Amino acid sequence: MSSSNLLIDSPEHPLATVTNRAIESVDLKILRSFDEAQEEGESDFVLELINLYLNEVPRLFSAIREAIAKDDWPSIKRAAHSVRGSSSNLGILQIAVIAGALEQLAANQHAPVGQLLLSLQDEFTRVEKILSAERQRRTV
Amino acid sequence: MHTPAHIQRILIADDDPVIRRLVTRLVEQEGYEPVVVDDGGAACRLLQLDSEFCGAIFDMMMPHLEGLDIMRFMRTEKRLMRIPVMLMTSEKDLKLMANSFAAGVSLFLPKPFTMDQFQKTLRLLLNNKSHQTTPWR
Repeated sequence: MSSSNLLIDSPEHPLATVTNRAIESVDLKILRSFDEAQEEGESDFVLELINLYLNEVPRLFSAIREAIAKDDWPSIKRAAHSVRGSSSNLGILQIAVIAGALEQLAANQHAPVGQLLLSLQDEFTRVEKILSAERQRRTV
Repeated sequence: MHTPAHIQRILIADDDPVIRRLVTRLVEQEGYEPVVVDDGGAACRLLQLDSEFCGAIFDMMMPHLEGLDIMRFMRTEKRLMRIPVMLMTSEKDLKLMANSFAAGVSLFLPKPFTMDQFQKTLRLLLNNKSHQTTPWR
């Protein structure tokens, strides 16, 4: 079996480390650190960042999916780079790591990018739940 | 276009809406007026009409024109040369950094960044315009 046919969760897969669960999905301390940017009398700034992130990432996933279908490696790399940038800055760590791996694969025009997109989407489901809980905590 | 001397405007170009919003707020908190565009092409078009900025913050990787491309354009026009530029990047490519300094970038802000890192880098950019450094590596 070639390495590209192995499941990423398999320890033999070269990308196994990028889905290492030792890294938490979301470091809420990092996200909440931006509460310091809150202006008095204005809407919740961190909530605004959460909403922007939750709107933007699915759009970028669609862009990656479309680019994969066209073997458009530069577009895959660019969209993965954007996912990595905003995720890492908001403390959304696991997605940042997987997006970084996807970006590297795209830079090297290496085939199993589709598997990493699935991993990203799977992780995003987890992140959505965590961020939705944070959103709810802030709106009650 | 004329800007009153007491208004300190900073040009921000980033295609990522999350980072763009974050940087805009942090610039406002430092007492500057942000002027925000969402790609490098828009930044260049704006700079052709308006050079009244006390600083500029560009993302390194953007559609159409990247941060380094904007820098190269700015260095072709005398009125734009005086604007100190901070490049935000998550790349760790030393050659790219060397090329950026050669093109006139004043400072790098590695991503991810904290509020404190952003504020300190911005203050360094605006208080020490001739200095080229990367404070967080």
